Amino acid sequence: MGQVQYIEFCIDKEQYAIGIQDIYEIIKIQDITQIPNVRSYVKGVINLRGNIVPVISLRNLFDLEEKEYSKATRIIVVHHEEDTVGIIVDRVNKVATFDDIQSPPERIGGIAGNYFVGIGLTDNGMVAILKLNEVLLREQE
Amino acid sequence: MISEYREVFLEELEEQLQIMDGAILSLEQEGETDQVIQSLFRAAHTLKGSSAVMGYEEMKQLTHEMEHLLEQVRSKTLRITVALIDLLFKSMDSLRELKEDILRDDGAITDVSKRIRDLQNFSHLPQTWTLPVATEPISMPKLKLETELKVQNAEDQGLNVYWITLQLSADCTIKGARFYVIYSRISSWGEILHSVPDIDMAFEQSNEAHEFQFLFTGSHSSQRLEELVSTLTEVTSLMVEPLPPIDRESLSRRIEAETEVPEKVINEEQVQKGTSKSQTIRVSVERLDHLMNLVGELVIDHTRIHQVERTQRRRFSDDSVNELGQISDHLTRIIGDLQESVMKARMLPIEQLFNRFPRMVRDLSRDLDKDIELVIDGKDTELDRTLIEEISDPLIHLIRNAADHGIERPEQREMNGKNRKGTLTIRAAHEDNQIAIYVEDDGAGIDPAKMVKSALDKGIISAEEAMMLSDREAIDLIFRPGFSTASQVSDISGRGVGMDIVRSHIEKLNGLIDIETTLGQGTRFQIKLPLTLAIIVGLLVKLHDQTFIIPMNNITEIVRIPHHDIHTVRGQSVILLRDQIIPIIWLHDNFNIVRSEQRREYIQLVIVGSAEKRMALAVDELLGNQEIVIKALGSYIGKVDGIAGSTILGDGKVALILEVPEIINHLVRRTVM
Repeated sequence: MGQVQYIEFCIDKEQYAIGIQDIYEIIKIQDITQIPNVRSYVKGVINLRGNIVPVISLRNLFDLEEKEYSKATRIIVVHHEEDTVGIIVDRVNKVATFDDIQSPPERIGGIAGNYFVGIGLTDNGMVAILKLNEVLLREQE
Repeated sequence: MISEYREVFLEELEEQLQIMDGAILSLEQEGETDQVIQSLFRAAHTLKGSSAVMGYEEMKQLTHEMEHLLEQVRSKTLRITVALIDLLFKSMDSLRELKEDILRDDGAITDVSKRIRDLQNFSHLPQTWTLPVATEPISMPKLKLETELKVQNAEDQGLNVYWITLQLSADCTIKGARFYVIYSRISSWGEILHSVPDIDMAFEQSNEAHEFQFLFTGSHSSQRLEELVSTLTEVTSLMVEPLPPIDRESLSRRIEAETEVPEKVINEEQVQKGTSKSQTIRVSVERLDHLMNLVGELVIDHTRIHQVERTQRRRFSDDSVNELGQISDHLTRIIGDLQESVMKARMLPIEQLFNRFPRMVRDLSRDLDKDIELVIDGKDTELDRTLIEEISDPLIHLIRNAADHGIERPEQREMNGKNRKGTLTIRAAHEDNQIAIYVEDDGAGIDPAKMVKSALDKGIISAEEAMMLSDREAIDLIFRPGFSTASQVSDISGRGVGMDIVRSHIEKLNGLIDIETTLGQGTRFQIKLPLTLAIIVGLLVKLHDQTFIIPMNNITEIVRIPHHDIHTVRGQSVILLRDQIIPIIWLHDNFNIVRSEQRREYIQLVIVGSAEKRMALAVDELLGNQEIVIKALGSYIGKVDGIAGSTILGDGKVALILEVPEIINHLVRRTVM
C-alpha cells in the first residue's frame, strides 16, 4: 500500500505540492509566446515537442509579485481534462509523501483555501497541496 | 452496421441524383437520345434497388414510378414533353427532400404520395406540347464501334447496308414474338448488324414497342428489300434507307483511341461520357485529416532541421555540415511531395458542386422569366473537400444574385442591343497556388450612383460619407451589412442573406472576394481560396519583439511609405492608395505591445482585406514568408480576439497567426471610435 506521492515546489519561501499522478513532466523555463488580451496569469504558450501548451503563473494567480525567471524556474506540465497546461514555479524541491494531511483553513496567507486539498505537515514545515481543478478552472469565470 | 451502409447509400444516392439531374437537363435542352434516357432509366432503377434494400419505402416507390414512366419513354410509347420534364424535375426535388430526411435521421419523412400519384397518372394525361426533338422523329441509333467495323467490312465486300424501319399495327398482340419472327426472316436475306430493340433484350423491351429498326447488310437493292419486307404480316409502315457512308478516318481514330486504353472500353457509354472510373477506395476523412496532421508535424520539424543546419554552417564548415545540408534538401523535396500527395488525396473536383448549378439556373430562369445560358468552365479543378462544402452556399448566393439582379429581362436586353439570352459564367481554376472561382454575368452591371442612393436611404452611410465615396468604394457598398439593391425583396435572392454574409463566409476560409463591374456590360465576382485549410503560406512580421503571421491569402499588397504620407481623418491614421482611403491599424495597441517609437523614415504597411474593407497593418519589420501549419491554441486558452491560431517556427518558437477578417471587422471599430 504505497503512499500518495507529491512533487513539492516553491514559490518564494512558501512550499506547495501537486499530486504526482497529475503531472506529465517537469521542464526548464522556455521561450514563452505571449498571447494578447487573455487572463493576466496566462503567460502564453510554449512549444512542447510540437504541441502548443499554455502556461500559467502561480505567482500571478496568487497575486504575488512578479519575479524574473531564474535557472531554478521550472514549468510543471500537468494534464487537465483534455488539455495539457504548464504551471510556472520558482523551484522544484523533491518528491514527497505526507504522513499527516490536514484540511485547509479558509485562507492561507492571502490565498483562498479552496485552492487546496489540504496542508501536508513535514519536518520542514507546512506544504500546501494544490487542488488542480480549482487552480486551473478559475479561468472559466 | 446499418449506419455504415447508410453512408455508402447516401453517397451513391448523391451520385445517381446528379446523373439524373444532368440527364433530365440534357433531355430538355438537347432533346431526346436513347443514351440519355437509358442512363436516366438506369439511375432510377439503381436507386429503386438500393433504397429498397435500405428500407426507404417512400424513395423506393417514387423511383419505381419514375422508372415505370421512363420505361414508357424508352419504349417510345411516351414522348418527352415539357410537362414530363417538369414532372421529372419535381420528382427529383422530392427525392432530394427524402435524402434530407435520411440525413437528418429523425424519423420525419416528407410526404411524397402526391408526387407518386402524379407519376402514376401522368401517362394517362392528354399531352399537348411536344418538345422539339433534336433528331428526326425516327432517329437512327448511334452505332457502336464494333458495329461500325462490321459496316466497314460489308462495304469493303461490296454489299449494301440499309436501315430498315418498320412499324407494327397497333392491335398486334404479342409484339415481342413478332419481333423475333421478323428478325429471323430478315436475317435469312442477309445479315442484321444491329437492331433496335436489341435482339437479346427484345423480350423485356419490345412488348411495348411497335417500331423496330434493323441495320441490314446484303446484296439486295433497296427496292427488292422493300418488296421482301412488305411480305411480312402485320407490318403497317416500312422504310428502307441506305446507311450514310461511314467516316473512315474518324473510325480509325476511334479504334486507335480505344485500343490504346483497353481497360476503359469495358463500358463504352462511360468512355463516351468521359466519366470512366479509375480504381478507387473510399477512405474516411478522419484518416486523411490525421495524415495531414502528421505531414504538418514533418513540415515543422523540417523547418527546424533547416534552421539547425544554418546555425551549424555558421560555426563549422566541414563535410558533416554539408551532408546535413544535402539531407535537409532531400527532405525538403520529399516532404513537399508528401504534402502534395496528401493534399491531393483530400481533393475533389469542383464538378460535384458545379453539377448542381445547371438545374438551379434552369429553375431560376423559369421563375424569373429570363433567358439565361449557363456556361461552366473548369469543372475538374480540384480543391479540398471541406472547402467544397463550405463554398457551396456563397456560390449559390452569387448565382442567384446574378440571375436576379444582374441579368436583365429579355425585352430589356433586346432594347439595349444585347442578345436576348443572358450568359452566366461560372469558372474555376488554379491560379498562383490558389483556387480562383469566378461568377460572371453579362447583365446590367452595378450603378455606383444607385448604390450610394440606396445606402443613404437605408441609413448605412451618412450623407457626408456618401460625398467622399469613389465609384469603386460605392460599388463595394454591396458588401456592407444590411445592404440589398433589390427594390423589392424577391423570393430569389432576398432571403435575408446579404453579400456581407457571403464575404464573411469566404474570409473565414482564408479567402478573398472581389467584384468588378461595368455598367451595362456585366459583373464579375472573383473568389480566391487557399488550396487547403491546414497548411498555409504566411508572412512573418515583427511587432516590437514578437513575431506574428499574416496569412498570405489575406494580403493584397505590401507597401513602404514615408511617414509624411500618413494623414489623419477624425483621429484615424489613413493612407491614400490609388484613390482609395485605407485606415492604418497599429496592432500594437490592440495587443498591448510597445509601439516602436523610433521615427524611421519609412513605415511598412501590409494591406489586407478585400473590396471596401481594406486595412493597412503597420508592422515593424517583414521577416519573409513561409509555409506554416495551423495549430489551435487549445480550449484552455479559448478564443482570442484577432488570433486565428498558432504555429511553430523554424527556431522552435511559437508564433501567433492573425485572424485578419476579425481584425478588420471588430478590432478596428474599437480603435476608430
